[in-house]
Amino acid sequence: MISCALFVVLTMNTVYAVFFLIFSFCVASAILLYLGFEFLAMVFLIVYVGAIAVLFLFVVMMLNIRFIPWVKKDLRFAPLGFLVLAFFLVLFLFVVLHIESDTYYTLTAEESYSSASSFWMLSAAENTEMLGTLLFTSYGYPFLIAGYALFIAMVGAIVLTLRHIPLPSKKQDAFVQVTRVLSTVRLFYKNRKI
Amino acid sequence: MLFIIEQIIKVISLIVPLLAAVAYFTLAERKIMASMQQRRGPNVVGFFGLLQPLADGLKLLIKETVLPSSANTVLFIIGPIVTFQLSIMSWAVIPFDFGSTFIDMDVGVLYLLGISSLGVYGIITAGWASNSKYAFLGALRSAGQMISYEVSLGLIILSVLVITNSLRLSEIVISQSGCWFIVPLFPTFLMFLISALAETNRAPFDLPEAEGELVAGYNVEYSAMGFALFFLGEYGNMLLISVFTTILFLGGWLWPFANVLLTSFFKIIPGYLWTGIKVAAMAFFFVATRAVLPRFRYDQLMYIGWKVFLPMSLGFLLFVSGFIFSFQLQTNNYHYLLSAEQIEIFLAQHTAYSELLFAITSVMS
Repeated sequence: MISCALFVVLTMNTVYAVFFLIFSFCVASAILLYLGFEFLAMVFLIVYVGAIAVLFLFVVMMLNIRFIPWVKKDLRFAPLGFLVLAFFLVLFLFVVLHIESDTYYTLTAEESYSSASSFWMLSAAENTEMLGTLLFTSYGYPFLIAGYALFIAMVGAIVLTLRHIPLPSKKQDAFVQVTRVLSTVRLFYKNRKI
Repeated sequence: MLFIIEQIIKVISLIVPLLAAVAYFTLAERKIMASMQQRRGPNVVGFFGLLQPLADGLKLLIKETVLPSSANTVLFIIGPIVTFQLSIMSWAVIPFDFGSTFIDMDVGVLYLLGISSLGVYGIITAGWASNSKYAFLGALRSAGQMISYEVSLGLIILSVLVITNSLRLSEIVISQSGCWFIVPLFPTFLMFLISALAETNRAPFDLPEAEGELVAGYNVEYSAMGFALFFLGEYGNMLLISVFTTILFLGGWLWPFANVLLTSFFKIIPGYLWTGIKVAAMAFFFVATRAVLPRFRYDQLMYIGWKVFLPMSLGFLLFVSGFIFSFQLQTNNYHYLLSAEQIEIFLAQHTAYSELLFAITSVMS
């Protein structure tokens, strides 16, 4: 995965860079699958690889930039990149050190100890159900806030692209076209009898 | 070692009949369309033209593979391989009969959705790598169409999943043993059919291949086996989505009318044949729409996808979940049913939903 991510930055062909990005997404999803989070892995595959990376590929392919030689690569943003990298590294270490106190593990342990009679409920599909239960109960408000954040981002994107075109554009309304009756139609042949 | 051999045999016994089915689906399409247009169709090779797909395959195999000089060679070769590979991969989770599936995944529906969303890449890669305007435009159209219809398709599937309460394909079928979902969810079934047509780039939504405008869409530059792989991948996807419709709405391997009198009559036909009959009906529907309907315009296609199907499926999802919540109709999951001895019990006495429940309770007590 790291080599894929490196190739995203290092390759000269932009389209290849996007393909390496897709590969690294796929590998991340495979890692999740190996860890036993099937649901997260599949959602990762559908959302990142199936939707977001396709849009990247669209843009890159339509821009018609094929090769960016090494000389032209802009290195001004490299320090910023390293700063972000360091931040995420610290975050990652923090999470790894505090993983015992995570709610997921405590809940799993409780469930598996308390409900021995319903052993089949835990045998399969447990992490999907667990994720759903957690998201809608203990993490309900953060979930809602995340939803609102995405919604606001969507509205912002629409506002940025929305322009009122002054000229009357030639639009076709399928409903109007289908439901019109003969008496309201202006005929070009006035002499013809209908 | 034995395990590996067993797995290989399993894979081969899944893929070889699949490829034969795809090959004969192409023949079926030509024959059905011919009879709808009052022609004879292919009838020269073999008895009634039954060997025509083999002849076609042989012809494509021995033709020359042309690599355009300005094409991006690596991506040009990868494109059809990816398409074909993905269309085969998704068959791993399909249950053909009770317990006869390659992997019975927990998240089978999500797996199918993910693989079908990856299918865009083969097409878009091929279109860009051919370095041709027709191919590129066709690929962009195809990708746009597939992405926009995936959204409504996902919402429609969600409204089924709200009822079944499981992402496992075999459980979706089992939970239909009382009543197929086509009855309570008929509007969504219609929307699913139309979205499936658009998702597989079939007529009346075959704009990526609009031969009047783009010569043949994203596969203009391909010849010989590259073209054959695209062709097989496309028809495989079509069969896959027919099977998926069968599983979601037509009750998979189950027979219709789950009451005691008719069950003894229908039990003569085994479950995989029921699957086959339903899939054949769906495939016939796919071909018949191609023969009957004219092609849509692209803006009309997008209008239907985003402004008609998306709000309607969203509203229907809310309606179904509200209905289930207010009448307390949530079903329990049947994960525990899928162990070896319970399969036997289910096979022995699955006649109707009530008897299934009776079997489970008798096992538990």
